[in-house]
Amino acid sequence: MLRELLRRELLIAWRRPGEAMTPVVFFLVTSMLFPLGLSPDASMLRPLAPGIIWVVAFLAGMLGLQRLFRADYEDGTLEQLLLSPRPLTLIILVKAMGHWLVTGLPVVIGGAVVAAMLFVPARYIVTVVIGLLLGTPVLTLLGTMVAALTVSLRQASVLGPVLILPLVTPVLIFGAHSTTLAMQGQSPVQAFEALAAMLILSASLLPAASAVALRISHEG
Amino acid sequence: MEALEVTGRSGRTVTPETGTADPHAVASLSVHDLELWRGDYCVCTDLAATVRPGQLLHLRGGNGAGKTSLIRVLAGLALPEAGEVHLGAASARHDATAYRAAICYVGHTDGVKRELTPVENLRLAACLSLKRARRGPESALERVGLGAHMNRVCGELSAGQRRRTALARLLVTEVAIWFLDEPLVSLDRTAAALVEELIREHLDRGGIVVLATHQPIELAGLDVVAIDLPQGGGLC
Repeated sequence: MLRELLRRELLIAWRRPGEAMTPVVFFLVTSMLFPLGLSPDASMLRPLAPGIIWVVAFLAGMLGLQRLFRADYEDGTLEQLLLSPRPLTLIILVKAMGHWLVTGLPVVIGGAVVAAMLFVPARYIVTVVIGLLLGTPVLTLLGTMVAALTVSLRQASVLGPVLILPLVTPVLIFGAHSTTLAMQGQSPVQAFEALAAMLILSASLLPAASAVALRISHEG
Repeated sequence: MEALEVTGRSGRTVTPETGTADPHAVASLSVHDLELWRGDYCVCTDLAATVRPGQLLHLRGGNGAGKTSLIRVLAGLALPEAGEVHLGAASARHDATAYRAAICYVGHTDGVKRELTPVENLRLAACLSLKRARRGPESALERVGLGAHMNRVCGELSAGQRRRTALARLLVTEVAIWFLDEPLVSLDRTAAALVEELIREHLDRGGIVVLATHQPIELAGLDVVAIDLPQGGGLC
């Protein structure tokens, strides 16, 4: 069942390429604007690069999250998921995984390009990628919970970012900090460990919380 | 067969038409003291009903009477203000997994992904169910007259063809109770007759059908329990 559900998510994204590509295109284009808006000077951009990469990655992730359950809500497939005797927690975990594979993974790969563009030294680009690899799934899982809470609300696009901002702050801090530490010649391992801990916690708890939120939101 | 009874606070009692269903296949669907409000509008209070295998529960009423609200509560998609819905011993609220394993719901919206083909939609529906029917997606689509379109994405199909895809979901899952909310919407006469035929077959197998519609549907000869929801007042 889980494989079929994941296949469905990927197939839908494949057949709606515009929607699937939006986050990574946003990520690349917005990141490109910083050298133009601030300065093309490497000494100015390099220290700002980790923060820019993480903030833009977060904003890019937010773009598609509102649609995560909204599309299913509008066409009635959400009712089918809610009425399935299969565990809703697992269904949500698979949906979040599919969403991350479609929107988060391209951002992780794009992160390497953006890091190079912002003059992050080549030997630290792998730090950026590892950080994004650990952190973006957490952003997706947090966004999944907020999307579940707001699925039936008309003002979801306004309420969503307000609800999620305090939740993602630690991820952004540790994510950006990992690259900054590496660029300062220190070990980023502790920051990675913090991100990994957040990922384990999020993957364990948030799908269940999202399932409850989705039922409450839908019943309301 | 024992007479069925549906009562509300208004004292309304609707006795069923005669029927011929096999009462042994599945447990009865029973509603106890159900109270349902939609905002300030009372849909029903103290509603009690028992629907036995082979019987059809027909929720009747005009637009806005609360048919969809009531069928959603009976399907376990929404919570009532008070009361319980049971399938045998399984409560829709407290034994939700067992209850959900026994039902299939075709709602107002089709529950069909437009990016997927009818076959892909049905394959997922079968996976979401615990008990798949012997009939596969292709066979189910042939049965509802979509054999020629089963590999086109649903976004390219007409509203009626998407509705047929939704109805084919009933055939790929082996469940006891069908919840059908306005199943005839967007369907032509041939497809409407097919729905009536599917309902008859399901009831003949000892299944239960809960039907909400304001459209004319041929139910002659079926064992029907009816709940009339008056427009503007509900059963309060």
